Amino acid sequence: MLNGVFVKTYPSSPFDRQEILRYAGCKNDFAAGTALLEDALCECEKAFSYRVCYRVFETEDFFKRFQAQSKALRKNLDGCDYTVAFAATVGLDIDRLIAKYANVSVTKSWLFQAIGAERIESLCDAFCADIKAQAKEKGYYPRPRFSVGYGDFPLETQKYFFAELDCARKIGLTLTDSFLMSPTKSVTAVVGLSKIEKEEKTGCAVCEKTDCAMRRK
Amino acid sequence: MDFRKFLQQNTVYLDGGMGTLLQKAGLPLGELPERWNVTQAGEVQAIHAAYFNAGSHVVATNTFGANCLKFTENELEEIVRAAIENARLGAKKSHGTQEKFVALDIGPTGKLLKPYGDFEFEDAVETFAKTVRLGVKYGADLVLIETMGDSYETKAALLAVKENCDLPVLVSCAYGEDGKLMTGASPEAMVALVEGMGADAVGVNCSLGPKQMRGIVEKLLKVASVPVLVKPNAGLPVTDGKDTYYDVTEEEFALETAEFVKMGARLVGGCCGTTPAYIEKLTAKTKGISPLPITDKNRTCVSSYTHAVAFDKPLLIGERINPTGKKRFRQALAEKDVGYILNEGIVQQEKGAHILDVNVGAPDICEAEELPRYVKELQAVIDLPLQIDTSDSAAMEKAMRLYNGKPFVNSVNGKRESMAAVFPLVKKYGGVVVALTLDEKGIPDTAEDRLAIAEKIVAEAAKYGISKKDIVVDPLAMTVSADKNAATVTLTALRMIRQKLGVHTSLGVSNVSFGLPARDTVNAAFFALALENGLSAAIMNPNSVEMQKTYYAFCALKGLDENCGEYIRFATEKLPAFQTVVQAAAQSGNIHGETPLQSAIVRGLKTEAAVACESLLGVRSAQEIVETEIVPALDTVGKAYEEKRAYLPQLLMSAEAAKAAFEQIKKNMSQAGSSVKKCKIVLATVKGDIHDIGKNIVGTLLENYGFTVIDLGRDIPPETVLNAAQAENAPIVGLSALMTTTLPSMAETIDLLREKAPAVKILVGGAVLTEEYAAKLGADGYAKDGMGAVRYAEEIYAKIK
Repeated sequence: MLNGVFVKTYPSSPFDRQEILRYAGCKNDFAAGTALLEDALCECEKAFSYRVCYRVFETEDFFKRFQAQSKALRKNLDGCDYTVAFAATVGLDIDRLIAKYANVSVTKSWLFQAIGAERIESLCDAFCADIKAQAKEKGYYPRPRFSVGYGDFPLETQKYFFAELDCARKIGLTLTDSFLMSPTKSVTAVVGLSKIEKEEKTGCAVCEKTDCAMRRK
Repeated sequence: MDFRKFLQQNTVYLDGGMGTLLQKAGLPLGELPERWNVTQAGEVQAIHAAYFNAGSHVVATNTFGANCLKFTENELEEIVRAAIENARLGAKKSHGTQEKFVALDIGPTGKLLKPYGDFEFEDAVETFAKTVRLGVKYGADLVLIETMGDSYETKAALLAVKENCDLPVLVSCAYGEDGKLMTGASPEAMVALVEGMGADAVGVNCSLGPKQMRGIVEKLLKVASVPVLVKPNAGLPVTDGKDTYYDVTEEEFALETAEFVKMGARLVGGCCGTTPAYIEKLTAKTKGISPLPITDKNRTCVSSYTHAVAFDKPLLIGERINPTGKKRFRQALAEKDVGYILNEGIVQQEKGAHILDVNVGAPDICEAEELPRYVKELQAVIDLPLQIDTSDSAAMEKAMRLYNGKPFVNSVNGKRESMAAVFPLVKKYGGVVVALTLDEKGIPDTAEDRLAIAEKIVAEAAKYGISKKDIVVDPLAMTVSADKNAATVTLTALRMIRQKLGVHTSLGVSNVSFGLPARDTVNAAFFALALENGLSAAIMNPNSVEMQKTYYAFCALKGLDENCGEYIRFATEKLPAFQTVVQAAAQSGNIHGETPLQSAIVRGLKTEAAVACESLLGVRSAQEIVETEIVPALDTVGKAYEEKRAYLPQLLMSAEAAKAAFEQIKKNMSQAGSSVKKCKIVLATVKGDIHDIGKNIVGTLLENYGFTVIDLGRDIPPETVLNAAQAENAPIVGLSALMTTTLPSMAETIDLLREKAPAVKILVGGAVLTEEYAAKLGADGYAKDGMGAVRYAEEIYAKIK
């Protein structure tokens, strides 16, 4: 379908404060925390750059190139002619803020990490919405995105993402020898494209771990 | 012809894209293009020949990713050898009589350097050096470092070139649409860095088309004193659903890139998506344009990994990172309390310092070890340029070498020995150096003699190839209470040095008031006089409100502050914050029968907790305050958290408030020299893991509960953990791992500790761990969160106490 790696950049979107608090481990607002959160949001507003690089594979070609043995992924991509592999990052500055405040205010450091988590999730959502719209024009429907590290999709697969997507050059995303990404607020994932429309259950709704502290209500 | 000479007189045409052409020639996706130098030499030669035919003076070898991370040393050598040979044969096969040069092409490694990645700076230098040495061996005419996305990696590559050859070297970076490198550096910062280290050209390539590059090119041309290089992409890749192509045509590309030549760019070519046809159009379009001369912009500037700070208006250099006369700071240095020292830096940045002086010289401190360490730590979290302040030239060299940016160095003086030690470093690492007007005969009493020393220093620097724009003279502020003429001499010297020698100046302003009461008053007045006499930068205390007032008022009065904007912001926003007298915590409410300190901690109010603690310190012992106030308050919140009545951020806010109270006790103790501590705990995130916020939270909580935490940081090898546990005689080691891929390194660390330090209790935690898994790894304890770690540590401490 498409040849080569493409890059998309996104403008800043509004912060979802409820989500941030959820990532920070708060089920509800609390006054002192809200004030600190506003302060943190103000400080990091310009710290983000939203970049995604992606590449479209025929699904069988994807399995070959990524040497992906995962059964869970097979199930996820079942019936998909194409697979979009993407890497997304919100940049290094938020890591710098997290590190800076580790020494000054560990609360703020913690809030910055929660903000970073919300930012990268919202970037992935925005990208996947674009993919959905584009696919629809061609009569395809996306499956829920599936990340490295989910189920039996091993972290070691990261090296194929980095080789196939040229992440360092395209979006400044790098991989350590132990397969961790830097900047840390980054995601690699695949989205299957199928001609068959299926109910889209995503996120917490598909997860079997029902006692998770982060679970959405 | 010598390339440097050629560059002086001509517009130099570079080549265009390589990758897309190789793919067209049949390079399969996924195959490393560098291998084609050996296996498909003819195809590579044909591409080089086509570029020479199109008019390129310089082609870059097909070695973008040729480094020892991707290839074995034998294959690397074969690739580089063949690549240079291919370029040479391409030149031979091509028609055209222009000068032809072969550049060894060096691209980024794809790894991020520490502290945010896992690649050591020196390993990066050595990786590039291996490729460079091969390039030299096989006869490259010059080196092209290109598509760099990180200032630190760029420095490593440039250093590798400079340490291994005298070849001309062009340095080009890939900027994003925001006009910055991926890791944040501005064009001005990159110019400062690479020009300082002696690059022959500085530039921009890849990522953007010519249109989007314009702003970056303008910035480069404005500040660079060396030739500017521009290699745009053929726009951005687009697709029609079937084929992928770049959206800028040859004609458009040539037109827009020709504009850069008119603006003064001296080396032009193309990057991704460009072909010999693009270069041919470009050479045709620019033939009649005579190259603009390269001019010295005469900028004195230093830089960090994000921005450059130029001496075009008076600068404030924060002096607080210095142990001289500060007991608490010396204690922090001795205890390797990195957090305390970083905080000193962060506060100064918040107060508006432009540059931070870093001095860790104290008895018992090995500066050659500690100075580079703190420079690294500071650069991880503070984006201000640093002034490396030491008289130990070994420490100076190490710190300059790993400094990410163009360093500021403090200092050299007129002594032969000093100049012989410092100038080679300034030349090599591209710094700006403070020159003190003293020599073997001491500090002269007259302004004329101080000027004479400054002249001597500038002349000597010139012999090393150091321009006077990279020297900032400090004519030395002496104590006015010891000599009534001291200030006058300094001020006269300032004026003379500025006017006659034409260099920038700095002063350690506060020396002037030594021995006097209300020193700030004298300092601020002297500061104003010094500024009026030509002071470019003051080494001062940014916390001093009097100094700040003088600075902002001076800039407004001298027309250095457009619409008095900075002054107004200072007066309306910063000044009130300076003057806020911290309200006594007595007002912070007294609910549920809590004392003010307890209340402040429970509610997570830092300032109030500090004030309440300070007032208690006059009447009660430190130990009593800890036991009856701080610990009970922490326990209240800790229990609430454990019972899920409080959230993690609430627990953390209380921890911070308690920390603020402890800081007051520490201040008090470093005066009294006593200590109320439980046992030591070594904390580390294991090797390979770079996530450390969980460990940081654990560390903060443990400290609150009176444990001495030795936080080794993240990505810590097993041996380092063992060494620390043994050296500190710590009964407990806490290890954190966040990912499944780093659990093996946790297991390794545990095994090593078991073998070599069997008495140590090992506590583990982290997102992927469970109680069962911790037991399987052989840990003594598992903590699911920070409070869990505290409970475990208390249990162990109770047993060994």
